[in-house]
Amino acid sequence: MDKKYMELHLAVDRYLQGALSGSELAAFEERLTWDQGLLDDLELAERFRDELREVATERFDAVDDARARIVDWLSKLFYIPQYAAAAAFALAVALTAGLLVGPLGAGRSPDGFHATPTQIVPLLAVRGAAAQSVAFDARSQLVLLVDVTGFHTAYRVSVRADRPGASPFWMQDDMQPTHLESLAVGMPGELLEAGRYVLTVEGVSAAVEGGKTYEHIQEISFESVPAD
Amino acid sequence: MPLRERDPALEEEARIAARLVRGFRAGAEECARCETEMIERYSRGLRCLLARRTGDDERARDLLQETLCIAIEKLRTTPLEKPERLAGYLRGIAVRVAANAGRRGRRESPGLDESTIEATPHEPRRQFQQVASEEARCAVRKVLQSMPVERDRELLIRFYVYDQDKQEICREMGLSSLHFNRVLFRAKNRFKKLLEESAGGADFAPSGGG
Repeated sequence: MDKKYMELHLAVDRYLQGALSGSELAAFEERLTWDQGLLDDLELAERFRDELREVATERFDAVDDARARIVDWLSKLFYIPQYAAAAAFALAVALTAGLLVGPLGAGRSPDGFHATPTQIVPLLAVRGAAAQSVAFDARSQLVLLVDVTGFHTAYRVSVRADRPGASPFWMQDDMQPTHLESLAVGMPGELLEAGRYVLTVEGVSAAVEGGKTYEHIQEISFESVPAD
Repeated sequence: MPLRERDPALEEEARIAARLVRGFRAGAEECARCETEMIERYSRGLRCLLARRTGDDERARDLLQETLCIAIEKLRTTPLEKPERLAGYLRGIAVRVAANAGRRGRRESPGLDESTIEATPHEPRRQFQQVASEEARCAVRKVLQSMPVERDRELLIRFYVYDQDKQEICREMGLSSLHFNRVLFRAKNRFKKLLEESAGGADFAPSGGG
């Protein structure tokens, strides 16, 4: 490839960018007055640049459309009060997780916060129905949304493997229903390997001695299916 | 930038320019012939230059006529100190005409010689300008798809879409200047070939010479 020709080619791009110095600009434009090949190159480069910008804009618009659809979907979803409350809780969980693994954590990245994707999964308790399947990304923060009944001052939720004698490996106590008798149980997705689990909800009552008593409310079986 | 380096095309241009300038001082017949040749040789480039400076293609057409009128009048009466630099002389007039037009800020007749107006050649659309936008966009997509390295695609976007400086792109992406040049050169050449195919298979005018 002719080096000088290639440099002239690149001068075309610099001209389009307005990046030529005064003497370079004068020399370039002087040549432009008679060099038909340079004029062709200029028009071609300009066309390429303009069409590339159009294509890039199409791509950005497509991303914006996708974002708009997601926002629209979320706004409709969060119009349901339980989900709106769960979203608020999920945001709190995500921020807390960000603080723990971000600037305060030992393994934080030099750039600051880690992005923590969060999945909200409603768990439905339907008597006699098969265990609900929950598909999630093990790297994400999981928020299980559980409806509760009764009039307890607080609730305790625990999760255990669905096998005889299994102990709870995740527990949250003194939970308040976030909105309209709904509990949002946050947990790291990595805790749920593929398998069957039981989520237990108990109501908390203050005991006379100052301690707490727990009343079994319901159990919800679910099956964990890692998304990937 | 090696634009002023001696090369065959530049040397030929110097010879033609000197002959044209001499012709303006010769007899009436030779003078008329040189006027016509000068208009044919420099009109396209001057119009392009004027269009870029005014941002108005139609106005550039008027300003081209004004530029040529001034040049012809001067060349008929005053010899150039460096006849081989006729292109630089014409470019200088065009730049001043564009600047004056900007100051005038409105379209007005520069009082042109009608014979010169008629002699100004009508610029035919270049072959690749005739390719429809959608086809050209399709060609750009094909160029992007044909690039196996994501980094090269990013280079194009940064340079052409975001107007990022070459040195900045090379530094941030850890690229050599040579690699940068090759990516740009190949992408444009591929684009050109695709446009040629869209336009009917005929080659465009060859680059790199006058």
